[in-house]
Amino acid sequence: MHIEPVKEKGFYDFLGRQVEPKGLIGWLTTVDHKRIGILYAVTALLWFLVGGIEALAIRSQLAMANLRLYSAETYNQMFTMHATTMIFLVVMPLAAGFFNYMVPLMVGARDVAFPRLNAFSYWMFLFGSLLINASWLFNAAPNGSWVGYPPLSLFQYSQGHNYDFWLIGLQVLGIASVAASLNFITTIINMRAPGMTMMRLPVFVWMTLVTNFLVVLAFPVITIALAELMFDRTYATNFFNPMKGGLPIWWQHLFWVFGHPEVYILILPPMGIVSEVLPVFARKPLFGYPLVVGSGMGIGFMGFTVWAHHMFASGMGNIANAAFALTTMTIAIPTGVKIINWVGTLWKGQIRMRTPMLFALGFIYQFMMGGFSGLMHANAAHDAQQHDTYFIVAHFHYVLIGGALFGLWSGIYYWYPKITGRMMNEARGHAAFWFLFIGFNTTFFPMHWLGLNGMPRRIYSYSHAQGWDQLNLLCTVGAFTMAVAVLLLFTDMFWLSLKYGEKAGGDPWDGRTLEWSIPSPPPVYNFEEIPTVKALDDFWITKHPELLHHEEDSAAHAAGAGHGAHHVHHDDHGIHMPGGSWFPMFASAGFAIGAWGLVHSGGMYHIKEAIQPALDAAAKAGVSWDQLVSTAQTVVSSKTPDAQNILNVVNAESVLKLQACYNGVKTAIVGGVLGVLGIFLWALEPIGGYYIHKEKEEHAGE
Amino acid sequence: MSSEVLLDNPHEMGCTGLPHRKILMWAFLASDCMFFGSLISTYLVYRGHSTDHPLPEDIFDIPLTSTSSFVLLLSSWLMVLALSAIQKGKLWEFRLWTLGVAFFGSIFLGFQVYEFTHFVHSGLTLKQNLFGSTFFVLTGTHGCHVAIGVLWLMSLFFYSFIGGVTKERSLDVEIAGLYWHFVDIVWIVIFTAVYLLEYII
Amino acid sequence: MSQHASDLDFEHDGHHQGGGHPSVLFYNIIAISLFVVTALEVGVLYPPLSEAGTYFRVILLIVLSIGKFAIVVAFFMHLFFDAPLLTFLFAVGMVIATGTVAALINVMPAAEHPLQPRGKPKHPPVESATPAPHALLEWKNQRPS
Repeated sequence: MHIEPVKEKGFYDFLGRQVEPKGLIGWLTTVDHKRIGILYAVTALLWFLVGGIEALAIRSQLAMANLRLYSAETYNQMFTMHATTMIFLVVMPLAAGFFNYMVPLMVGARDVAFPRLNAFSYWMFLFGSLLINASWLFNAAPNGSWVGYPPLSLFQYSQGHNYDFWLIGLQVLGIASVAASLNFITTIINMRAPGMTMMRLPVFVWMTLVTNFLVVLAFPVITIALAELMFDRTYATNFFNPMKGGLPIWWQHLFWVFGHPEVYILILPPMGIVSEVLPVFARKPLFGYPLVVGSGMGIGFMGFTVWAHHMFASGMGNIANAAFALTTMTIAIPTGVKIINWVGTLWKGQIRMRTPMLFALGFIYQFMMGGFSGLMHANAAHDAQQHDTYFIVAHFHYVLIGGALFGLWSGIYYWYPKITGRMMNEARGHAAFWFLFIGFNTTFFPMHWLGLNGMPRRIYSYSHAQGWDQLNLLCTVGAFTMAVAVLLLFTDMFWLSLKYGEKAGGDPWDGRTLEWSIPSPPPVYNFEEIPTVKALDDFWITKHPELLHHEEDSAAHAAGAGHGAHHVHHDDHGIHMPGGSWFPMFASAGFAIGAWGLVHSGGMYHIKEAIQPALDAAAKAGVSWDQLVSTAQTVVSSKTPDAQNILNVVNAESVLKLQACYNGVKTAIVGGVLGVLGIFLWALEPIGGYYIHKEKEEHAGE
Repeated sequence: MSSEVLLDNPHEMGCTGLPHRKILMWAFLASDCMFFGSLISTYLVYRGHSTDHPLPEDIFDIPLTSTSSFVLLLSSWLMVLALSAIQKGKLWEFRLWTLGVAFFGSIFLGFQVYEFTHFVHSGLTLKQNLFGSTFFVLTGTHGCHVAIGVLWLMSLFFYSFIGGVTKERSLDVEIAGLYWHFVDIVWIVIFTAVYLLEYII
Repeated sequence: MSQHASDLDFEHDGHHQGGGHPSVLFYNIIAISLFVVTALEVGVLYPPLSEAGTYFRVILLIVLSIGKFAIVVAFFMHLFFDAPLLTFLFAVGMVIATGTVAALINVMPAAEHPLQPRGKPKHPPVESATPAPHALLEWKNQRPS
């Protein structure tokens, strides 16, 4: 194999683009979907530690009655950031890591449709996650829960930058998600290998497609909602300001129009993973493939019709409550169809209890539990009792940990050999499963009882008299048991198995999908020859021709056994690999700087309005803005009003805050210009990269 | 099979026989439907909730807005002509029409600036009342889309002088055109839902 | 179980691509009809009609703008000539957006329903509101003279 660089010259050369990605620069400029997938997953797992520590802090505070481990304000920040982190910085990007790594391999492509856009999505995600967590450094972490309901989140009631960090941070993460999703929709629709029809796509790819449609359609709504709240906070508009006729409930509607599809954005990828894992470890085809795919699409569509069930207690009226209760209960049907099909897959299968399978089975059981409690509060009358209690906390942790996280862990254990080339240790994997499973149920099952006994969500502390002591202590013990599982996974993943794990061949699990047909870890070009697909689970059928008579398309296979050689890139040029690019990171860094500026302009017009009399007095006295600011600095440091008596100490502080807002606006403009400049340079940048020429001998070795 | 390869050969098709970028653009436009849908529903839901003057009937100017609507339609027309020209390889015709689109887009923006200034002088600001908040954010967001479109088209215009826009690469123009027409149809909805309905009900 | 390809298969859509873009004359006719429809829309406002005419006007306006929308999407954006897959992509967004907007407008508590006739603001500015938690709030009605 030898490498021939693409000949290029001119403006872009001085940027030091690498021909072939190497070292740190190789990672920073990468456009390879596999590297970006790893970046996504590792970043998400690091935030998972942060979110987990926040969870342990919450559980410690609630372990016993009347505890005061830290202040109530910190507690508010803890649960807000725990939720925000786990949803936007862990489950979504971890799923995105799998999308990135696996989707091109599963559809038989060399990369995603827009590799540099893909890199841009990752860097936006990284900077957005850093931005939102930077709030901790300013002791201004968001503190009014992840739903950010006004009026609590309006400037009038939250004057720090807490909500500015949250609003702008989510906005940045939203851009990252939508950009990535557009990319995957295009990839899945348009980059399938020859013969890979839509109904031959692996279920994971189908669920990715549905998820990405949900992202693309749901995120614009939260973008608008966040923008409106940001305008309320920064420019003193009235969207959610009840004093001027604004309706805070409008935020709830917009938030949940996004928020409910978001729930399916979190759960559909793990459902796809489980649908891949079960057939492999039951050694049977997935039972009812078209139904599983169809119910995935059904869930996706119906996800847009149920949002107001989060608002049953807000007084929408009987008709709206009844309508949304009905749609919510209906969505249980496609979900149930999926569960029946998974169970059908297991039925009479030759089940191998390897770690991925354990997590997949855990997923089915616990997701079902979460579904049952979900059905209970789909009933609006029932929900009146359960709303905002720990019953709800139990419910959504059953679907998000018991469901989404178990599914994702299953995916980690399943695809780890493909990504690293080494097997994960089975004994440690089993131990991690049992710690997680027992810890999880110990933590969250008692919360059903706590909730029905009236313990409200987001409560800082409680008294002995309420009788919640023992169950809360049990929950806390469970939480720390889960932490053991997390430690086991991390040491195994990043150290023990990575270093000492036994070598995995290309196909350690006897897999069914295309990613197992190539070596582990996959070469940079993925497929030497783009495969031709003749059936669902084509790779498995090729390996097991004795099973052919069970398959409908045996005729097709008998005609041309094995993968047809489809020589796409075997001309003189070899396989073309695109060159790395600095501009995705450059552009997203620009936007991140802009976002930083926007955060610090929060509250601008409110502050200006408050000190308007002082500003008018200064204007009358002929004091310029710069002079006013330096006067304000003196006033604040000396704590005495100035000689002309324009500024008292309070006003002077406001002047300095206003100056910080103005600086924020300037930073935002600079950052935005840099970002747009980055996109222009990126659009004009030539492809670069290199061609890989494979020698004949190496072919034979494959 | 990457965007980079596509830049080499913009007519390379994916397995559906469509170029990647066209699929991306339509998916983006679907996303933008939800974007403007949320903004427009905010405006409509808050109709009649303002507690202060001025209200739409105090300050709307239908002849002015109709004129700017005509201007935007005109630019859409020139956009299809520009695409049609570049698909036939008529570079100068393409430049002329593209410049025309950008020009009329700027005229539309000029109308908007005039309208906003006029409204502010009449006492309608972002924070004056709900009508001000919803109206300025909705039409301002649309104006930002128009401005991005103008920037995009001007980039294509200048790019054509260094050989960046050719008959073979007419997809670039088609994608920009899709965006421009979408901005136009959003205005069709805004013009009806915000301005015209105001005069009837 | 893998021969269900035909119903959801986009493979064959591509043949429509590039299959002859319409002529300039066609575009001109479309553009002129768009101008005419816009003129009609504005014209709908002017003839004096009774109360019942209000609803007639509303329906007419909605129909006209849907028509305009459809013409631009179908012909200027080539959806009519292009692959059905693209129509599907856009329709997913349009259907969900339209449904959501309609549902939101209906489910929101409206002081006056947005599609009902309305007059001057009925809510007087709040004079004796609960004191704001700080000095920044100013709820004075700043009605211009």
